[in-house]
Amino acid sequence: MNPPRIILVVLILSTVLSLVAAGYIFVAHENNQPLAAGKLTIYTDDFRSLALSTNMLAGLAADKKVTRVFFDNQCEFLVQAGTQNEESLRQEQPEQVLQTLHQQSIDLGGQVVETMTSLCGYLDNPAVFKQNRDALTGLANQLDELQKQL
Amino acid sequence: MRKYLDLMLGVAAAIGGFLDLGQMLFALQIGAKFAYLQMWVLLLGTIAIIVFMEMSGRIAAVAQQPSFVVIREQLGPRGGWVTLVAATLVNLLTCAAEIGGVGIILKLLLGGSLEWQTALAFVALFLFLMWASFTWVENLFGLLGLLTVVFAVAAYQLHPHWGDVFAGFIPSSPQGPSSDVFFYWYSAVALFSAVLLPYEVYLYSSGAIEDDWDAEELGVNRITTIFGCVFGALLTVALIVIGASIFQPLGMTPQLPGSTIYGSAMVLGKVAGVIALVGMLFAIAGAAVETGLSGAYGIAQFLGWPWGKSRKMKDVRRFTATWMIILAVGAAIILFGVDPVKLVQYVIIISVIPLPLTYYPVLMTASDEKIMGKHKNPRWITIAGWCFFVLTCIATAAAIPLLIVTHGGQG
Repeated sequence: MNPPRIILVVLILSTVLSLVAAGYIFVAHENNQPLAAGKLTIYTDDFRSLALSTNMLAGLAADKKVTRVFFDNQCEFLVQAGTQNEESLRQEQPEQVLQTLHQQSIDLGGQVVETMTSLCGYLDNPAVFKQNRDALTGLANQLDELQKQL
Repeated sequence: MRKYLDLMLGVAAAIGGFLDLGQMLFALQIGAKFAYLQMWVLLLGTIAIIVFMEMSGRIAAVAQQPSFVVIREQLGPRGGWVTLVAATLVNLLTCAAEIGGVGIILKLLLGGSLEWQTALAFVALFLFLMWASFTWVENLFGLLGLLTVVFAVAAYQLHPHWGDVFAGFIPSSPQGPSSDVFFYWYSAVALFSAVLLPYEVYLYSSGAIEDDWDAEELGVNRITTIFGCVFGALLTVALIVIGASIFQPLGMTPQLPGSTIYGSAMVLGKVAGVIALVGMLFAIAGAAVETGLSGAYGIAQFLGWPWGKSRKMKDVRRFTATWMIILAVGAAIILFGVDPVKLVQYVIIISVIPLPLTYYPVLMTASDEKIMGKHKNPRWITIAGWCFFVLTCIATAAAIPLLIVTHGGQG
């Protein structure tokens, strides 16, 4: 066996072994860990990004810079992502010290999804549309404040 | 005309490689999160893919050996099998994500249900591949993928601070909490891996043989790889600029493929938004077709089956059946409910695994005078190749630990 072949065998074996080990550790780690501050920040950041993204889309739609089909379907994807995020967050078991913040995040996330859904249905009603956009901005700010406590 | 067709091979491979579902969204997210701090990673990855793609094209032209013949010869049966399995898995999952991506873009363009649009995407790509020759594949997706140039126009119109953009090409160490530092390096590894996705090399070397290249095409090979990859990299820069200009000031991360067109629509209007979507459609569809074909090329070449998209289907039955199965299984994965965006984020990281196993044999073969004769690597290319090979090994070793500490690459 010449030296390059030995290097290759080691490379292949270590790659396969590290993959298997890493996969196992990853799944076990993610399933067993209680929700920590870092992961809760990711959830709240996702809600905040979804709220701001929907607001940005609403601005483009109001200025007639995207088609109606794009607006409706992108809205659907955004609401779906928000709903999935909310469901995942509800299933998390937070660390003892994070229980209040966890609940606040669920409440704010739920409001974000509700407001996004409402905004997406009222493109033709400028007054309600604007009201929902303002509400989303407010919710994004509240999520920002909540993140600072994490 | 011949030169134009040769050039389209590089453009098609580069558009598929640089502008697939994962990399478009990922570039936008990198811009939103780190502004221009990871331009140096893109530069490094682009030079690396040019070096390896040029080598694989040269091997195909001179020795008439496509990538998986080279891999089998250099790694032997066992090493070759490991590479084949890893590469096929990456190709299959990437193909699945891209088919799902085409479904998403069709829904954003035409409406309807995502499941129906994904099924439509599968049927359309399947029928197209049944009918089309390799020349059609490279031309259709290469040409219509050019519509993504609208991203470059939008990025320019956003008037970024060019000094900051160019400063990003100088490597810098991230600052802030450790989670940010880990995420920075996770993103760097993922970007490097996304640029170096091995299917580009499988497709490119197989395409060179499909296009009947010989030693006379070595100049074209060099120009094609440089032009195609630089073009793809510039469009990636444009997406990073868009991410940094419109998402970073709000401190938000774009999470959906549709967010990619916000910048174009914002500065250029509705028509530009539609053009961007159509460009994305063909770029992602091209990536779906190319990953499907790459999987079939790899298996057929490794097992010594007759192969070639330009040959009659009845002459290459097992090759044809393989790409059909990859496309069908890919579509089934998405239709059973797997999220293509999440899938592609994992695939980008997993794809670092076949990187060293693909590029090592290419490097060894291109440096071998017995095989390449006077067309073997110049010394500086060999040195550059080894440096990039070491980098791919480091990326492979770091990828999974970084995936874990960043909660699956979420932050």
